[in-house]
Amino acid sequence: MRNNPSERTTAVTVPPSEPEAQPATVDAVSATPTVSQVEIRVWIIEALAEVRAIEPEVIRQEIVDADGDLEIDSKEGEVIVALLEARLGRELPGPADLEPEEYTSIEALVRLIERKLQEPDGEVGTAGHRPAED
Amino acid sequence: MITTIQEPNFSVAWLTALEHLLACGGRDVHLTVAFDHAGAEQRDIRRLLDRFLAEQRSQRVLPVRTVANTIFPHALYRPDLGDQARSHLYRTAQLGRAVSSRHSANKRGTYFGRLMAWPGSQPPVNQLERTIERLKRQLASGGPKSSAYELSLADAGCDPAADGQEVYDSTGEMLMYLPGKDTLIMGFPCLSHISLTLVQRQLHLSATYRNQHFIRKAYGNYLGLHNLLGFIAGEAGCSPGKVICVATHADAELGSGRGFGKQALSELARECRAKVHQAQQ
Repeated sequence: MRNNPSERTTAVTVPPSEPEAQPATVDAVSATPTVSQVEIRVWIIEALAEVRAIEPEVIRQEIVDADGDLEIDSKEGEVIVALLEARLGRELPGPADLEPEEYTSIEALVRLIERKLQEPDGEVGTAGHRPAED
Repeated sequence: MITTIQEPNFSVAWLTALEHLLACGGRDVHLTVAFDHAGAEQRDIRRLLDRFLAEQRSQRVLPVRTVANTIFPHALYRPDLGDQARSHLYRTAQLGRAVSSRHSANKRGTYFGRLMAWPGSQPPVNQLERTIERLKRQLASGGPKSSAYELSLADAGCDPAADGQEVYDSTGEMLMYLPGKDTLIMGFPCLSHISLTLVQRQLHLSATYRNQHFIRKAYGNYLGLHNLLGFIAGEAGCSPGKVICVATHADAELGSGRGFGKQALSELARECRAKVHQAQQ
């Protein structure tokens, strides 16, 4: 799957290009409620690199090799969301809020987090909580 | 009569157990399923099951991997980090708990959470770390002898050199069930206990479920236990051996309420068995 060609351009903060993009600070994010998909993708890649204990550049290359998106495990997704919540200072939905077909990929997380950031702070989840035990 | 199923890998073990349950009315007690850790998963069986589960949207089911992750979050374990691998696993899993614990189904905790921080003691004990360190000490102490004794599940501190006979030189018990807190008749935790046994530098695992759903959970349970054993054995410095899983109540989830229907499950089993036959040819 290639990167979404209909990439949103309504964001206030748009880094010049994905590989060189610098993450926004918490203050900057607080001041700019709209964040671009590009920016979110950069954060996710950095967080995934931390989870996998490898350099972000390796992740970017894997994305290229995988035709634009990368499958991730739901547990990796939970850690990524936790790291982004710390960065943004607000609660985000977890992978369990996704429908199964959009469950575990970088692009699915980008879309989910973008949707969440467009909601007023404090609204949690959309698709209902899915049981995860037994 | 107690049924014991033994297969070379957990994919076929799950299938054989499901076929057994379908043949005996959908339920059994003390169903015992054993498989070798060395047996490679037959992924096309998992794909068929995941496809079946995905078609049951209204039933609130989860993919196999999600179920397995509740026992061991395999993706967070990076053995290439060497002696940092365990601390990385615990740190990332702890981070993720902040998100997963918000789900209503996880309010009472998770299996891996209980392994990593047993809430029955203050401060919580990392059962995994305690067990791995205990196994490492045992392995460094001279190694197991040959011959046979009855397996004791008691204390891990028995002397490996005793009697010059085979000694089960280390057992490790990891608890899931928390008396006084786990008071629900149904639901978490269904997995109540895990035991580890080290014999001749090979580590074996047994798990006890008070109730096991064979469509929603059992395959993911086996995958999670398989991964858990691989992690503990690898970190302790021994080889993983056999897994045995006892379902004190085994349920094929045939009908009434949240069931899937005998016809649909029989068809699923037939498709899976055909994959097994194909792989054998």
